[in-house]
Amino acid sequence: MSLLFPAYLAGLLGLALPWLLHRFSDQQAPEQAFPSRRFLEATTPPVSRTRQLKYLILLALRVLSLMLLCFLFAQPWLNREGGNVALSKHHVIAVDQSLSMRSEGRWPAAIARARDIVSGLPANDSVELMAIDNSIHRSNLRDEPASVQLQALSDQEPGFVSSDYGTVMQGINRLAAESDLPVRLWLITDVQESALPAQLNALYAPELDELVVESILTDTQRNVHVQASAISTDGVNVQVNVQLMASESVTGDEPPADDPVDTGATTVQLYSGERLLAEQQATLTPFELQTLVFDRLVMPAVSDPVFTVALAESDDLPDDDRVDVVVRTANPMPVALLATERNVSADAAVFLTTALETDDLARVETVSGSADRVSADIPHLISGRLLEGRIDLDILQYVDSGANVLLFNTAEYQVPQATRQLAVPSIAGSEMGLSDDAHPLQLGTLDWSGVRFYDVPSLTLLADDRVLLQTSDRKPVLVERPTDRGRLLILNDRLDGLSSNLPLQPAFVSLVQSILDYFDASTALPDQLVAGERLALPARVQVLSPSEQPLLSLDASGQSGTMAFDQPGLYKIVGARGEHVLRVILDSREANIATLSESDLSAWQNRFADADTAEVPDQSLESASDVRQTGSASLMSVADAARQGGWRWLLPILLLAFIMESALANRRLDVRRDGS
Amino acid sequence: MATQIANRLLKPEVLARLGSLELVARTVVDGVTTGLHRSPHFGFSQEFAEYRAYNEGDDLRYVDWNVYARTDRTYIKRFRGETNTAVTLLLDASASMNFGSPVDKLHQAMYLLAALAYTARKQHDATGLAVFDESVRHYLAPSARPDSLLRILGQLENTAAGSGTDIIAALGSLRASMTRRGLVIVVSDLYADADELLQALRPLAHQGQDVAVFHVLDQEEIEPSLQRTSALRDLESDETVIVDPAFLRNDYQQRFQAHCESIEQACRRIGADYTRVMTHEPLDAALQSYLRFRERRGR
Repeated sequence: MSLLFPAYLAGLLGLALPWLLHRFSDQQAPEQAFPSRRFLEATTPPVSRTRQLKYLILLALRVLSLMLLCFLFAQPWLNREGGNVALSKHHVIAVDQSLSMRSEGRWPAAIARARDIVSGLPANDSVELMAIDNSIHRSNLRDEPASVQLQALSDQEPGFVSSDYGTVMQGINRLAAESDLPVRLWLITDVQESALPAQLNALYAPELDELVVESILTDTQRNVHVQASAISTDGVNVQVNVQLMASESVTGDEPPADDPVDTGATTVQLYSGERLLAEQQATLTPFELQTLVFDRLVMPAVSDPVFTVALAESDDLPDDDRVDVVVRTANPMPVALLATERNVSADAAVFLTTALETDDLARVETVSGSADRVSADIPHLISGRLLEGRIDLDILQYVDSGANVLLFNTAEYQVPQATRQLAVPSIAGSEMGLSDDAHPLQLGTLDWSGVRFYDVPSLTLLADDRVLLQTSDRKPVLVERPTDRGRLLILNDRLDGLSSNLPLQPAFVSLVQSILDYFDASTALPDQLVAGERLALPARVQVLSPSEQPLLSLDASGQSGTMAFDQPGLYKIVGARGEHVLRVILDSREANIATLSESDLSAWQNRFADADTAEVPDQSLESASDVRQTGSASLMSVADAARQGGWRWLLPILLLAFIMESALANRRLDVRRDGS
Repeated sequence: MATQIANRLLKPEVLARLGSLELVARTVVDGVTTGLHRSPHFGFSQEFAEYRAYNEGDDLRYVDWNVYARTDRTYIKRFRGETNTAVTLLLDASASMNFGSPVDKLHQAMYLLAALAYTARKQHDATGLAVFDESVRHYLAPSARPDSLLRILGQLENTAAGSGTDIIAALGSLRASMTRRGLVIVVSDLYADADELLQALRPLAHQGQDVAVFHVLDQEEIEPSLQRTSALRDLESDETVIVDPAFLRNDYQQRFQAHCESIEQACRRIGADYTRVMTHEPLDAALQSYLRFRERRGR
């Protein structure tokens, strides 16, 4: 048994308290006045054995309760296997499979190290090999012999996803909690500095019996990470911005910044297809961002023009030396603002126009009359209607043509009398309540603080209506009504700034632009994604890989869902509204191959090892440089790690002791002494 | 009904709220006499009591000359209530009297003495007061002056519990002052040896004093109700004794009962009247005992 917080044992000094209470409370008989002691006689009645026994039991119970309390605070941990701990163990060999492991020689070194570990394990120990990056990937072959698992792992290659030691440690900690055997974790990794979690406590895994961090770094490596973007403001000229970041990994304990990567020039080339358009040279300094601009480029006469930015000289991690960029053009989207009723607030038109034309996202054209007067080349319509009954036929016909409509409510708003007299808007009202986060609009990410609804108009919901936003008192604010072709959204607000302050809040601009993006199928999806992230896809779309291969099955493409993009490149999302190019890029943090220093690594491991002998301090790795060093920095044994909390046994005993103590103490034990 | 009302008014806790001793005395005495069918008052009544043969030295004014004319013998008519005697009230104001509930023994004694003084004054008796503990602290000689009652009540109201008690020495020092025959009323908790008390009272009886002893007690000192071992502090000596409740339930009560009986025996041996007064009981019983005592003595 070991204690997590042994300092709490100092509380055992408090055991003197019940002894003192019993010692003195028994001798001090209550004093009372009496007329005369003439007929009194000092008596020393015998203390009965029963009372003596109760007295001793009561004292013992109180002492026991205090001891149990102290031990509970000290958090004892018991080895579940008792004396069989040394007989058998479960070894978890986790091999880093993140992007940085694609550097030259790292992955073969990791596989070789895993093979060495497997060959050196006792025959009666169980082994599980798994790959890790920002999560743990358990193999389906984990019940097979270690050699089979190793062979399956060696057949794989590192991915393009970043690594996160915190997530990995917590995931393996959960696995260790489910294991009946003590678990030793062999973490084979390139000890990347950027993989440390934001909260260093995440590195602590109390369920592990032993932790061994194996670094596979053997020599100094360097990498230059390339990022680029291209934009055209006029559709003719293109500007490509390139950002370069150099990093290096070292095996010693010297700071990497003291040894520049390369003082010479690095050549950056710009291609259009296979044709070299331009090249520039840059002098890189480790861990400093270098920016290059390729200007005055002519837009290629193809749809979705793509430029390629690449380094002329390869480095140790070649996967991030070349990047394709799609030219983004500024093209305002035409939106018709239909004014058909008298009670449409003039302020509503101003609010909507302002929100739509922010950042040149849309170009608003005001149309009078019914929806059939809107030009056919304007696919989006915004109109105010009375929404208590059925929606007007012209709107439904417009939507059926494949266009999109946003309706807002024009029900008349009766300004409260008191508010009118005071000329001060009421601060009462309901806040924004729940939102449908599963919807592609993802309105929950917007900042709704400050939005108040003073009078939400009545709205007749149909059975198939999907409420995307509602107030805190469950009144619908934004509703999507399913249609056959186009999209129909109902914003249940007057947009006059009186019945709610929604149009006056910053969230309104984000809301309108989100709706517009949702209307436009091609822009409802992000342009760029980091490898490893998941993307929510609408129904009836297909995803094409960079090699133009469909990635979704027929069933999967028929319904909305999420998809993970693990490899970089230009993906195409094809739907009824056209193609959308999705660029999956590499995580720049993962491309930074700087490694943990020896002192940081020791701090991590010492932090883990100290857990069973001292309190767990929330110290940073940098501040732990003075902790004791081990002979082998990459190997750290956590002896006698905690297995199972002792409170499971101590707490019932403590409760029982409290109950018995209360029962005995309430009987007013009249333990008598002679008072001498 | 009148008796019930009087008894209710005579409860010690009711008297304690009256404040003024004079009011207490009036309440007690009037409450007692209102409930009686025949007033036991003596003194001012001109009610004929008896004829007695004339002796030499008798006042010739009381000779019944009509009888003498018919029988040629001289007889003297005697009337009730025309006697005038000296009443000396003795109050034990020792520390042990400062005990009891709902009123302590000292206050119960003061109420009793106030009532007795009021009664005596209505009978035109000369009334005096002596307050003692270890010695005589105050002494007012018996007087028939109209303000004697107020002086006694005033003295009683200013009396507080003192230190220890020595009733033997106090009575010894008072003996020289009480030369006139009369009534001596002792109100005390009598924490003294019965034989010594007998020796102290016997000279008074030999002087021709009629002695009445009111033994003031509290129920708690007769039957202590302590439930656990306690330290009992003597109010007079301040000494503390750890006492087991079992002892208080048995041995102590036997000892105390024997003490009370021996005190009563001693009183009887000298012809003194003994009355027990409890702090939780009304004073009417004690006052009627006094009146019966006066009646028996015929003074």
